[in-house]
Amino acid sequence: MSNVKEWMDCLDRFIVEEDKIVTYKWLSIKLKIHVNTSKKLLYSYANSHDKEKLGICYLVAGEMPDGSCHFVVCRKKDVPKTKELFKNVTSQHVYSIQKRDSDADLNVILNSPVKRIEECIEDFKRLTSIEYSESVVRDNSDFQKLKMKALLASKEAVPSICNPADAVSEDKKPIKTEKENLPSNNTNKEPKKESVNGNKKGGLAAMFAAQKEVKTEAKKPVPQQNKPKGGMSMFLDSKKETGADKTNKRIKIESPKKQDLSPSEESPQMDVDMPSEEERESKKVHDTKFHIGSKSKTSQSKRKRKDKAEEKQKKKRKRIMTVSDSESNDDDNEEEEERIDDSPLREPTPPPPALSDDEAPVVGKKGKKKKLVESTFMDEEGFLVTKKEYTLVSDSEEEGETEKVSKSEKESQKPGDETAPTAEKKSPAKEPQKASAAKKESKPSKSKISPKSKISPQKNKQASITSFFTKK
Amino acid sequence: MKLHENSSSGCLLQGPEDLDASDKVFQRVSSSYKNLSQKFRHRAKDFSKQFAHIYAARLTEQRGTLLEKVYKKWGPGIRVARLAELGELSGEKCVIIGTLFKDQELKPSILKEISEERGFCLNVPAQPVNNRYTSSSDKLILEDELQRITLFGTIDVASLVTGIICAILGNEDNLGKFSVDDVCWVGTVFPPETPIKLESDRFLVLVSGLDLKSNNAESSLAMELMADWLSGWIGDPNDQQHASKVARLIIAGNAVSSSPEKKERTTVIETSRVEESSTVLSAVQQLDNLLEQLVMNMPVDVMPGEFDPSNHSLPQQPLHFCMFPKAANYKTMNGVPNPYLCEMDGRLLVGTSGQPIADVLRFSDVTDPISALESTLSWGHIAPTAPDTLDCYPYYNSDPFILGQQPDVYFAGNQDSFQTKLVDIQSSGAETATYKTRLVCVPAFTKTRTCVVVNLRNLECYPMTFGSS
Repeated sequence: MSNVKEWMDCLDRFIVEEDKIVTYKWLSIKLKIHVNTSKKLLYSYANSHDKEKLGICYLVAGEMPDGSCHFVVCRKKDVPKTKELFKNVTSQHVYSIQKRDSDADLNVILNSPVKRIEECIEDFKRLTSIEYSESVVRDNSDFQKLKMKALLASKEAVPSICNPADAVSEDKKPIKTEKENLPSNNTNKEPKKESVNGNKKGGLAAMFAAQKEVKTEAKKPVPQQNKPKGGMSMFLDSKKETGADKTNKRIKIESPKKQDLSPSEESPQMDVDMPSEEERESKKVHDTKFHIGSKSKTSQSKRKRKDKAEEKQKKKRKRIMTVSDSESNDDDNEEEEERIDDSPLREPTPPPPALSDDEAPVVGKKGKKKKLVESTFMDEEGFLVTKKEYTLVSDSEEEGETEKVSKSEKESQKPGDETAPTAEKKSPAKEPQKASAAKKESKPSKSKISPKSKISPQKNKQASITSFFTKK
Repeated sequence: MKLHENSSSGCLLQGPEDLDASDKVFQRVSSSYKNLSQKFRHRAKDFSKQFAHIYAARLTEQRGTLLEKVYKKWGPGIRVARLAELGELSGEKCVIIGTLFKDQELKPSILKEISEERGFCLNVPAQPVNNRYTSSSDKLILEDELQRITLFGTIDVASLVTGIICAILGNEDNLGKFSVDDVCWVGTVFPPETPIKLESDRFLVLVSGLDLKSNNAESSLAMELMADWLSGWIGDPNDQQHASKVARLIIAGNAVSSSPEKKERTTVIETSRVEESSTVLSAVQQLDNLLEQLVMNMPVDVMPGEFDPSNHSLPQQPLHFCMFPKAANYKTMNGVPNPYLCEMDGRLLVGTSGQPIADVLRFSDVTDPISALESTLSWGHIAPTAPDTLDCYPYYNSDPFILGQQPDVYFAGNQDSFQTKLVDIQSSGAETATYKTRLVCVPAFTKTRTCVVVNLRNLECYPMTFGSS
């Protein structure tokens, strides 16, 4: 019985020194003794320390007169009273002992030790009075099965959910998820990113070296895909001769990019290279795209208009990029690009002042026009929402300019397979101006960068926006 | 007989000198078990179908059973007619079979709500504030595959609900209504053979509405006591021996939560959202801890309830095992769907977490959950009001809620109080055998701190309450 002596000492320590609420269960786990032994220990402790004012709780269980069974925890003084309620008392033992009797709610008192017990749940099995051999721990294969089941369930569920005529929503989903990977070909911002990407990745040099190829590539797909490109490629061939070519080339560089983007071959590259910022950006682009897409479903012309508007924006950004490029090295460019990427999306793109100055007079004819405005705001749920909306804006110089540029671009595309000169001829009103502007821009850039590489001209043009006025 | 006859309580009220005498370890009984709930598991989710298919499937599936009963009840010569044939019969007595539709003015309707909001129709009776939508103007309409006909006569409109399949004896009157003489319900099919009689007591414990989200101190002590009782900690050796005969615990719904989550519109979402879900999260964790203690010692079936983190429409799919990382380690942890069907030691158990019963109560004048439960048994359908007023999956080629074979234990969880009834169903026909079904309304544990013990040997049933005085 040395064990018992030891246990009693422990119990005494727990209760008196550590001031714990000792329940039979806790004691059983603590001392690793059978639960019924623990109950007896508590009982003999309660008996031997009868004179002290211990707070002792009893458990009484039994059958009520109405046939129901009850397990009741009560204070020692209430035991006789409780027992009277029962028709037949089947269990009675000490539930817990604590140093001081208090009037606090038993529920509250007795809840606390339970939490501690949870830590030693492994002991539960050994100390309780019921053994259950069939409670087996699942092995790995079992878990695998469970997981497979769950997986299968979800897999089956997903397609069948999508199957029903919700074609629209379904269409949206894949695109959304693939945003980063597979930019849709008609996103106008994507191309720019790509080009930037190229710069970043292969280094400018690589890109530039390959520029000739780009050109040729562009030429090939152009005829089948869309006329504008064909026209542009023609422009490109002759780009070095005229400023107009320059502008067109700019467009052209974008368009091949567009083509390249849609196939998935391009996507890995994007995945790898795109900084998260850009991904986010592209997402936004897509989202906004969707917006526009849904809106424009009604009429083709509308869509065109929107495309134009977007192109316009793209243009602006291009220019900004070039600025950065010409004036800074690659790394800078990267940063610059990111910054720029962000800014235009959030608010209407501020067009380069130089150009607007130049072109303002021509454009000024319009009083008011619809303008695609992007606004970013935080909704009630705390998400950043970027919205593209058409708003009536009084035609400022800058807008006029951008509008014009896009228009001219459009026009330049129209000619299709024709050469640059014809294109220019066909759109006499606007094209010349643009061409001239482009000329002005492009010349300096050309001189600067053309030896080095060919993609840069695009950027140089934009760079030149700021610089060419001064130089010229 | 309940706990044990030889009431030797007090053997633990002694010193620990005589260690061996009381330190018995009992072996928990094991029982044969078969989960028959496969029909409630979704294989593919297809929500494109209309709900009408359920009624069609229900009618086709139950027509056969019903015809048998009709011929038994009213004689084999009785004329069973389709509604379309009533015209030819010109008022002759016949039996029609179809689905009941209860036309209720007070039934909540989204159209009414909208028109009230807009002030379109002013003569629409106001929606009742209480959760009962019956009124004296309710009408019963019987629909078969093609037509419908209004019923009147000896049929208790108030106690019936939409979606019941029945056969009606009567005749059509001049006005095109059907005068009812008698009604025959589908009921259940007798099991092919009488189950093996158990030789010793074997208990099934039913508990529902643990509602760990409420974090109620009183009920968490009671829960602890219950877990201690089930796993053999508490009580004298005799009580422990009794507890060792509990072969299975079924948690019949709302273990995590028993009230809808409050949808508070808050301004700063990120933080508030985390808070909201964290109450559920911690409740699930608590449930995991509780379950772990239990499953180490006995098989536990966990059914999802109306407010548990599962799907809302019937049949509710089992709570995912990943929610219980500790308890799921044991094979005895058993996630089961909401209408739950299984066989234990030859006894067929069927039960729900209570939604169908609550819905029947809302749309009929039945006030007693146990009689609603009994009605659904006689109607032969677990949830007749689905899909009309009870959410359910749009089944289209079968109706899994049909009670085919008569169950031995039929329970509904999350009721206000414990109720039980032993239904004795006479098999009408040649054999005079009766078949007993134990109906149990399992009370919500948070409200009553009571679980239900069913003896599978003799279908005796009594409540077990835990708590402090």
